Amino acid sequence: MIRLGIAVLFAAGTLHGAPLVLSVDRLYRADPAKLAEAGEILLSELNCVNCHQADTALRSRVPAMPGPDLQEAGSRLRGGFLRAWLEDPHSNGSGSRMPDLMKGLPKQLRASNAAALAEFVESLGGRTTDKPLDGDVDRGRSLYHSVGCVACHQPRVDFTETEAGEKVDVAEVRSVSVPLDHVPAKYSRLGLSGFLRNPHLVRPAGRMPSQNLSEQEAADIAAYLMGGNPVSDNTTFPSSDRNILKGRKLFASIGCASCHVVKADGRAIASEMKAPKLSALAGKTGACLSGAPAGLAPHFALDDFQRRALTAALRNLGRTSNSEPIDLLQRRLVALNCYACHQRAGVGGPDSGRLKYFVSSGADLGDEGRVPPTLTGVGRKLREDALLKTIRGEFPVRPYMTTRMPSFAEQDATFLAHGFAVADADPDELPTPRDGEENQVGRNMWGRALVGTTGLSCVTCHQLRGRKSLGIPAIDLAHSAKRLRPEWFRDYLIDPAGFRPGTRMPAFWPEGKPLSKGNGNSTSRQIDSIWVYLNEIDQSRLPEGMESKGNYLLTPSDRPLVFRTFMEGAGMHGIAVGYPERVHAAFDSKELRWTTGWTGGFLDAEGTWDDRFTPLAAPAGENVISIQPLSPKHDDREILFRGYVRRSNYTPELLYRIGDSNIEDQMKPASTGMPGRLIRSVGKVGQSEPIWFEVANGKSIELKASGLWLVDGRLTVGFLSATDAGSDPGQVESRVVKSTAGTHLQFRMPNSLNRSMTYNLSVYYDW
Amino acid sequence: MERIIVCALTLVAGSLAAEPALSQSDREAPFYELVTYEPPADLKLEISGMAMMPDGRLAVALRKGEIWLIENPTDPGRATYRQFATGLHEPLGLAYRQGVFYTVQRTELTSIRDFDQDDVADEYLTVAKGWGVSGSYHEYAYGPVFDPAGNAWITLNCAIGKGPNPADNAWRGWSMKVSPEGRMTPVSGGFRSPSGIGINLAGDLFATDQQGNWFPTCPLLHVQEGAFHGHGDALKFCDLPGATFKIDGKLPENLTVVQAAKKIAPYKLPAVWFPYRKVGMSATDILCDTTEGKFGPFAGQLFVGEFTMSFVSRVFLEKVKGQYQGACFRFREGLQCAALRMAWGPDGSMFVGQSNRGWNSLGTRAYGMQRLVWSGKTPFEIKSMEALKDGFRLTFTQALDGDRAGRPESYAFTSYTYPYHSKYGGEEIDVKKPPVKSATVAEDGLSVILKMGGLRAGYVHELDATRLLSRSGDTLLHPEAYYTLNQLP
Repeated sequence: MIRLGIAVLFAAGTLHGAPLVLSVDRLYRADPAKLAEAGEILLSELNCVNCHQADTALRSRVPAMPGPDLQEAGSRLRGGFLRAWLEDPHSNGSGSRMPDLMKGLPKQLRASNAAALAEFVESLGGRTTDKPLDGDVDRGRSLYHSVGCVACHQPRVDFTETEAGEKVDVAEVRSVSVPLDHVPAKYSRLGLSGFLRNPHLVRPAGRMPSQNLSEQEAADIAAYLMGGNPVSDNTTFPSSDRNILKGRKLFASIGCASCHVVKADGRAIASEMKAPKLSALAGKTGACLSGAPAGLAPHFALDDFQRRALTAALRNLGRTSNSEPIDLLQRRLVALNCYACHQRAGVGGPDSGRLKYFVSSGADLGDEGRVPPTLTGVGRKLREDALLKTIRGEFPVRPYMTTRMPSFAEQDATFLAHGFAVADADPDELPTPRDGEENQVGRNMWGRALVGTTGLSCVTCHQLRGRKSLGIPAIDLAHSAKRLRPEWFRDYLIDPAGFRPGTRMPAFWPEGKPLSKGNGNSTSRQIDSIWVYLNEIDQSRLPEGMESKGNYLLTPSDRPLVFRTFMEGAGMHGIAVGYPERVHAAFDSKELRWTTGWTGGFLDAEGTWDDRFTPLAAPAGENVISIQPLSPKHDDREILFRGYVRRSNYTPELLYRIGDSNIEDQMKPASTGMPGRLIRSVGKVGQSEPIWFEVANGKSIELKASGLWLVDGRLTVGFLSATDAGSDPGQVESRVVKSTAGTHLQFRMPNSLNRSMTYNLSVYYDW
Repeated sequence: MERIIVCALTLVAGSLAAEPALSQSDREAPFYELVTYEPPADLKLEISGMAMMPDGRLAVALRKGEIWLIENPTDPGRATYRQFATGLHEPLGLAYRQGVFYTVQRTELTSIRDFDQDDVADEYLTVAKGWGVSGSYHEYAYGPVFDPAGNAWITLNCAIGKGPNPADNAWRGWSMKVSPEGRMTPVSGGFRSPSGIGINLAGDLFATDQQGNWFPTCPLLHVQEGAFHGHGDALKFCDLPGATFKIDGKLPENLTVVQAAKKIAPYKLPAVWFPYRKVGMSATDILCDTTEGKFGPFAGQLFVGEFTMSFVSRVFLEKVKGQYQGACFRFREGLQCAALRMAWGPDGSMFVGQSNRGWNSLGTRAYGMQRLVWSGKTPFEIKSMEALKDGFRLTFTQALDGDRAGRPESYAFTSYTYPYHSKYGGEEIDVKKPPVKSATVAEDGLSVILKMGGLRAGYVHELDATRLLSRSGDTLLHPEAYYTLNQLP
């Protein structure tokens, strides 16, 4: 069987306002065999037992949740929205699970009832006058599409390319997401950013987890979703005590109070909704389940699939138990849409369109660096306390992943952490060596040796205690002891791919045999030693390879050094030349310009020689000066870098072509008695067109004296000699020309008299 | 600043007789000895290029940007190391032609010459440049390898992650050819991290690539003009002058590579897939056996280096309907470090240059050099695996025990393909077990014709022949073979 992701066949549910339960749509809709299972999740997600009474066993099988807290709704929501919403909650296409409780009423009555209900809700919470933080729309856009919001919600059409530079197909993902188009009409800015900051306060059901946003981040996303920082909505709506009282009565009578807990006079308002017991509904298809409920029956705008699923589930309730811990765990994972990001036992994980929004912060970790980890066996992998903290969003260990593990509500975190631990426990698990007999002196040291570069070199890829790895930034091993179960740690190290198919983690104990002798010798001792070392890492020496990286400072001693690297100023085609005289320069072999001069230390090669991520090298000395920070003006002639020659004095002579002219260009420290710090000698070989040769550029160039210029107030450029001028600056043609980027100082190099002659020009630089 | 240092050697032979169960490396050692070099302690021998010189010296390029000459390279006790060139930007290949070295640096193909015969390079000339270098750390450039016509072939890593100059990225993920006159033209595109280039006896060019986005596992790719090898990033450059193919619209995803090859005209399936972990996790250099038997029974076949798992594998290729396809086998494991580069010594032994900086590998060292020397004993191996219309012909290095070899149940096949998608890596999918109907052993006992049902074009056909015995009663040193059946003959 080819299994390339899960086929997704959608009825256009949201168009009709049907309640959205994303994972049910994704994982169950296309599978007739799962109809009843889907229905059980819907029974829970639609809060059925809040009206239809059920015994404790049934309630734990299809638990209900508290509805949103309405105490502050008046300040959070806009009045116009609230009225329209209550009048017809399915009209705005948001996929809300709130039923329309007035579907059967005439239009006019609905409107007046909605107004009364709105006035009642608004009377509950004072309008706050706090000033919201201003958000930044661009930052909000970036956050919204990277921290995890779009795992469930619609990406927006103004975001076309991810941080990783990948184009995204917005339409494809939008059709299977919770829409947010109604948000600007719905919220006040303060209300929205407050909600984003702490969604559980408003929605204790926890279906919207917290992305652990800072106050500013919440304001940024709010500004983005609202299209800026709108001023508060001052539209006022009439309000009367009579209407508030009417609203309060409706709140109880039509059933709002079944889900929303609202206290009045110190007591929760009781719902007057009368409904048959859940167990009595098997075989029934009317009321809530009918396409168009009559009278005051709640109207959920269910689509055909949802009605069939609920019917099947109701029929099943009395027949099958279907409430083993593993069933309940599975249903909760679906309800919370954990499958949007995670895979477990081959189910779920981001689909291909969504996958692109999961990016890594520039690290080369492949999908392991950007896609949330599998949940297969996670209860065996992580300690239960670590699981709990993780699901609460309190234990982020993958800083390279831009998607954040959200904080789920306490009731879900506890339920899932324990559920995983029970479901994934392996009764045949072998114990790890216990402290007693295996606790030999030296285990920690064996572990240190194995982790270091003279051992298995774990630190080549893994970070440790916040220290960068020597290569890719794979997960910090110091987390291991606080998160992992030692039994899993052992089994994983023996067969990494068995636990994480496709992982690049090599197997260092293939078939359970150690590849490296010593340090405990046996597989169990070696792994146990590493475990001990990682547990004691806070009191231990860092491993070999991390302790000291050695000295990478390049120091020219008896001859100039040439060093090619990615370099600040000189760019990706940089050639740095260091001289024993401790004056140095860098050349850009793409643009053909000496970009930089400096004195003192030459260059630190660590980034080039030892850092996988090739940071730009920078001068290691001081007095750094820009010589040609701008692209030289070559008057549209083609340029071609040809290399360099190191003749007897080893000073490189750079060779290149400008148009048809062959140029030799050499930079050298000035010898004693000569002006300046660096002398540049340029030769134009043989017969070719005259060119204007550029020796410096910058924002401003001032002529200070004959043959003497000052560039950007810092760099002095002095004429030394030219073939037909000797050292008389009056005899050489020079010019200062402007470009859009700045100002350029150039000397004319004429055609030589014959083919064997070289026209020479010499200038000095001082700063 | 001459640096001539004489070094000691260690011989790692498979003579650990006291061990009750031999490791695979121990089982391979009697046939191919692994000789380990001990370079001077202050020489970080991170070998990224190797070239034999006509005078018997071995030149090695080092990742930190140097070229060193090793005198007496086949005699580790007398080997000396001398610095020849410095200051290069991560050279990832080395060739020697008519007195001149060629290497590819991050930004250019460079020729390097010593004018005055003092064994120190004097001239570093730019032969060709012009591909984009945005500064992304992953923008490695590999090569060159020269073809018989004197063209230099180069492969360019795609940019993974953003560099400081993101717009300057032309031709990333393409292969380039530089003519003897220095004219550079693109050849094929769609590489991810093509760290190995090699040429077979027929003069055709091949490159390996790395499992990752768009590559479900590592492939061996035939580099030919107009080929698209699969990685989507390369499409950005199809509009540049000189591009050798064009693909309209978006690449299809979430189908099999076999289906993708039918939908995307320029997409050419790899000549060989190296199934993940089974035959490596990160293929590197390609070295054709030109030793004419000095290295054992595999003349004309390709050897391929493996980085993460520190071994050398072997590839048999044949042409079916004009396209290369064939089988891969494990060959020799137990190296001290990632095999990054390989070269033949004058005695037909194989130098293996090593470095695992930035990416861990099995073994005990971070860099170095080893040499594989054939002991003269012939291992019992599947020498070649050829596709037939209705099965395979297997040829062995030793005569078979006819009884077992003649029974169909001695051969177990699994066939599978891979998903084509931008996701990282990919599992073996659509797995089936095609039946072997008959096995006919040749009179000399050196080959078998298998008649099979259920062969699937495009799929990898994995053979487990653990049950076979040679006439002298040995089991196969490597009983698994993996044939990529792009075309049925």
